[in-house]
Amino acid sequence: MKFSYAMLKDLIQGDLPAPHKLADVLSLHSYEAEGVIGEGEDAVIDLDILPNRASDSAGHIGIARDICAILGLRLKQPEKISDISFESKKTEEFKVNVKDKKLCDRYSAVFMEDVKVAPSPDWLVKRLSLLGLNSINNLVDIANYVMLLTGQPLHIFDYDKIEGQEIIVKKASKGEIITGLDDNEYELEKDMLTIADKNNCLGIAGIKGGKMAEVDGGTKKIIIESAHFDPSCIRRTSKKLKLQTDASWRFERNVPNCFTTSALEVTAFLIKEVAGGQVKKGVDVNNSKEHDSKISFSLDEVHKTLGSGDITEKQVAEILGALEFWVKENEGAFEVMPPAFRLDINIKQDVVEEIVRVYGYDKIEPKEPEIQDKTVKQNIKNEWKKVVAKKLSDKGFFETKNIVFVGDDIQKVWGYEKDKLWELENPINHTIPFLRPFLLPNLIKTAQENIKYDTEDYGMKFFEIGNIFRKEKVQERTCLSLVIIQKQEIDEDYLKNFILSLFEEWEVVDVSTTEGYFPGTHALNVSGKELGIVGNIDTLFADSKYDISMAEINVEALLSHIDEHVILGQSEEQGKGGQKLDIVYEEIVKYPIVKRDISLFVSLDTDADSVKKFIFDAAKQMQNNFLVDIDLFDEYKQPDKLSIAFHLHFQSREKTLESEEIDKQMVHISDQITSQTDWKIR
Amino acid sequence: MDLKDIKNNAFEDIKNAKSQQELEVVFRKYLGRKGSVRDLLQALKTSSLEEKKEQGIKINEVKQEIEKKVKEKEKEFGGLGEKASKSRKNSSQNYGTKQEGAIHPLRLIEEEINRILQEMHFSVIDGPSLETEHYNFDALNIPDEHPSKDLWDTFWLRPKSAKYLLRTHTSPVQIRYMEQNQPPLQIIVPGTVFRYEATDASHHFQFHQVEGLMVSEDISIANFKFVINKFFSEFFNQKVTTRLRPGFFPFVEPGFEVDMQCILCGGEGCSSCGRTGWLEMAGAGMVHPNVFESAGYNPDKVTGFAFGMGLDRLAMMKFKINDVRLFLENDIRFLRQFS
Repeated sequence: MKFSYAMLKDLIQGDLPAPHKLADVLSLHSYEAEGVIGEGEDAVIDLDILPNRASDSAGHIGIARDICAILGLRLKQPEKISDISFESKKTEEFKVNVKDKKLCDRYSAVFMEDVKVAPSPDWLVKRLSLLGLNSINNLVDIANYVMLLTGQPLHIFDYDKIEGQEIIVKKASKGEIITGLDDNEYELEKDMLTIADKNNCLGIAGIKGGKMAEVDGGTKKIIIESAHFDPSCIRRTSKKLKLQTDASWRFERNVPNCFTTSALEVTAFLIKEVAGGQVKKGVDVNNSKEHDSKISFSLDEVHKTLGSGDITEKQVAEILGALEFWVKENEGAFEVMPPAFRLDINIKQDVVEEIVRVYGYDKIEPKEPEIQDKTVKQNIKNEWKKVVAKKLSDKGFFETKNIVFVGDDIQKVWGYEKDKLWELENPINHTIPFLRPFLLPNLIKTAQENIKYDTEDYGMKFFEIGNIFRKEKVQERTCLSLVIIQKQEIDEDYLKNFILSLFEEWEVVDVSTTEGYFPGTHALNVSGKELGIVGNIDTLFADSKYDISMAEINVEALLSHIDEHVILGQSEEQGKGGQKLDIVYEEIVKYPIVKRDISLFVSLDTDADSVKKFIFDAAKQMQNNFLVDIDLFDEYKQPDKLSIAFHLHFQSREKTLESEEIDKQMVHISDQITSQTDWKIR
Repeated sequence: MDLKDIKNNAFEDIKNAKSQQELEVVFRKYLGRKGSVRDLLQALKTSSLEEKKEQGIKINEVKQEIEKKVKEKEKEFGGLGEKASKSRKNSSQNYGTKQEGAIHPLRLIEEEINRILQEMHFSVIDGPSLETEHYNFDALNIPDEHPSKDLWDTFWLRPKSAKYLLRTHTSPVQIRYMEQNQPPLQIIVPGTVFRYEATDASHHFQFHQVEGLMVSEDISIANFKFVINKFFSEFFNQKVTTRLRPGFFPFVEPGFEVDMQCILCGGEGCSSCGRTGWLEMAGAGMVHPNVFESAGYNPDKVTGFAFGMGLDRLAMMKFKINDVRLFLENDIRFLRQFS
């Protein structure tokens, strides 16, 4: 929320730090300043008001008060007409009938006559503009200005357009339509609160005024509304109508109901100054309850929470006094009452927070905690995950983490029963509305998407350790899944035997395999109970270019058959290696690699690596060098010579390479070979 | 051609093969990648699951019979048997690029964080990702119908009335732990969390956190400062400067944000720290008495602090990764950089 440095300055007696310095002070003691725009008097500070402080800090006075407490300055209240008399129901000019006291527990209003509607004075236009508001006319602008000043939203009605001189606060009728000041039509529902006169709807309470009683150039008499509306009602209405305004934002977060009359006093003063007019009586229908909120705590408790620093009773009393708390102190025992506008202060911890943030977190020195019991609980599942991840990565598997959402191919292709699936009410994407009941589907997708980078046809291996979700007695489980993907046919038993060898390493006994659910698969059993599957499921995959071998194992079931000490022992062994974390990620180049082959005859004692190096060096000589990798793919001894062949990989970080650019490099490389060596290009 | 024909033709061809080489050709004709048995299996992809199962079993049987016949015939050509069949299939021991594999960078970071905090006597605890509204919100003092709940846009499961959700933070596990254990305690909960938000270079709907909790008779803000300073110093392998400033979370009071002085520019201001010289590292605070009550503790007898950090963010800082989506895209060109 934006705050004007000039408006804050008006509210504070004493020297205010320059805008940037002030922003820093606020960040450390109140709210994070997200930026300062402009300079000097015109500076605007953007503050991230904490969600529980919107009630008192959605106006400049609230921020100014905090600044004064922090910097030891004095708050200067804005000028107001303080002798307006408020009746409880009606005056000679108008009456207020609040039909729904729950949704509106305080409705205050003031009547003024002989006002002159005109364009606003420059100072007002400028101030509003700095804070992102357009100028409409002097009356509307003042209402907005006072909202920015106090945090209390106001609304002004043209008195002569109100039929029956009565303001009624009541719920809408179903289907009732109102044209707003923005010229849009809104269809209301029964649970929405409205401001009405005896015949018409005059406004959507707390959100938007209606065109019916709009202030215009001819307005002479006005009623200024300043009320408290139920936050939940405003929130629901705003959501349903998809209409959020500066007013509704504040009401949703609960504007303190003690603000109503004081905001009117300030408004009346400004209107008189700017638009002339006479202030008559007001009406204040006040059904709000005062809550007696005495909170007790001791200086000791404050010290205990802080843990260090030596804040004194005097400092505590000063801070709370500056924040307008009522304070009673006796030998370290405090009894305080927060000001009525601090809706967020309910328990002593709330008070301690006020004390410590104003005092300054920087004044607290770190202190090592005293720990009696230093035993750390072993988390066997976690230790096992560490062990298996290392084992698998050492064996050439890449760990993946996939999203937990799946689509309906889980039923259609994998045959999983729909009524066992958890479905999202609000999926991020309608194509993936379910939670994965096993890991393989997404892991296989990942494998299939990656195999295109397997330029040498070596094949790839992946694994994932993650949770799966089923509508069963056990809702959530951890599983380990593995996938091998490659162009050539995969030995059916490789993965099965690999897993069995892992089981052996973990001393799992009574392991057996039986025919799996899908042909070509095996169930992995321990003590006769199935805890995983392994195999190839040719029948399920649309893509026939690659062979896929897969496995998935229920981790909790597996762990129940492994002795803790085996895992702890292996984990400790591994731990001795230590973690290598000084890796710097290199951004992946998204442009394709182009392969060109080169075959040569060289002498029998020539080392293939030296040929590789020569080619690299030759490529580097060029200004535009795109050679990124060289792969030996054939080496064949003949009686009198050695025949070798390489794949040369070309790639640019900036674009897709053209043939000509690569041709150029190939020509250069060939030239270098012919002129510098006795190797023969085939 | 149906299964029976294929089987008969295959047996015939095998019988007539006059050399190992011819046998190889026959083998490929029926059982190779483009062979007839393979074709039959592929044709099943549009069938129902029952069909797939039924036919699959039959096809597999025939496949095995043909293989057996080939093996037997091989003996005629000088007992090459095993050797030949091995060469037919690429030796699985060498699958994968040159034996390199890798642990996921998020696991590397999580293990490092766990290691550091375990040395500071924190125990690692896990809990469910599929949670209830009670543990994810109510017990953490986050009320219904409140703007602060907007801070956690939630994935709900059907039916909504059952109030199941995907956890938006790992704090619910702390409540569960406190319900089952007495103080004093020190725990951390690393885990996957979910928020209904648009994905971009710094945000994802599925991300990872580590949250910590320390409860005892007289834990203070000073204790928290000590713990968090020590943690970041160990994690970044250098002396770091941290600061606390006011923050708000419904489950702590006082609540604070923890900033760390930017290690790249030493606090001068650079592009990594938005020119402020400070990096926001964690949210934290002193546990709210309502939370202690939900967990069955007497708030007058215990105090504690709680903190939470984004794992993805720490990994991005440590490895200089610029896009959080990379963690779940699993592009091998990314993953292999961590081997």
